[in-house]
Amino acid sequence: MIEYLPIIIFLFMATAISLGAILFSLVLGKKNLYKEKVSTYECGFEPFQDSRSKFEVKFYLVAILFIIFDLEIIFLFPWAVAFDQVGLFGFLSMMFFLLVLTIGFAYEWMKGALDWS
Amino acid sequence: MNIIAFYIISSITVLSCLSVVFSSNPVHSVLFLIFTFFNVSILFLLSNAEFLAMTLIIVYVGAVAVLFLFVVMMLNINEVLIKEGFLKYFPFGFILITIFLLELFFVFKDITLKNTSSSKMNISELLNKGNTNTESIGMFLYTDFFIVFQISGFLLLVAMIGAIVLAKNENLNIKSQKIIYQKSLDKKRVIKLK
Repeated sequence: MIEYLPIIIFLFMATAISLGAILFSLVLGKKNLYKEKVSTYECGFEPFQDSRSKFEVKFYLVAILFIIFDLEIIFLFPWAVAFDQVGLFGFLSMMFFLLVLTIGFAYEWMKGALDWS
Repeated sequence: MNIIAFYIISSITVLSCLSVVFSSNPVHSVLFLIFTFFNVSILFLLSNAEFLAMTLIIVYVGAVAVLFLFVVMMLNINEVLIKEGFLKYFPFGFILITIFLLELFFVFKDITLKNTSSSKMNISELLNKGNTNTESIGMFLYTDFFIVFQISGFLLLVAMIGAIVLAKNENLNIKSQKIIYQKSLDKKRVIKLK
């Protein structure tokens, strides 16, 4: 466990510095607030709508496809580390896994899910 | 030392889980969920599962949390509307939670973890022999757990095809260039001279 000590020190330092930046500007900064200053604005206009607007589902599709290939890469890591121990069967097993996902990738490409209008 | 860290981290995890459920702003809920993922990954680190800890951060914080944020954006949830349904749905939800907890209790009551792989090695033994965590997962996952591994591959394929079929709207007027169609046009048929 002791090898994670630098990470913990780093986390504490990062928290302290970011909290310090917020706290010092809260305490030392000059505050002169009035209604127009604290209200939300949009290039000088009143805001037209809620800041959370609906957008096209295509962005969500890109995120889902990203997760799937992310997981594929995660599966590759232990295989690569233990490559000299898995033998021929382990190699072929991973090749079949990659083949299955490549079929999916080809489908995705042919279907035009990666095309952007 | 380890046990103190475990109790601190797990109580933070439970608190942030509760904040996910009870915070009224959905974006705050997602941020608390990310905090929960980080804490759970530290719990994995404490139990010497380094690979799982890093996977949790890469997959859940890096990708799944983005999907949750997208859902929050798409649903366009009104804060008042969430509060309204709470009392109405509480009895039904309470019954569901009770049934689920009882099921979990009866499943895990008399279960003992066994080494199911055909080889007689155990991951904790491998760790004691000086193999790293990632290496010992790699030695088992692709050979001893071949079927499970391939099922996960097919699961990813199904997820990919399902997402494309659901989200890809063919009726959208996408103006993209079709090179084969362009090349195959007959010049004399398309251009007319008067």
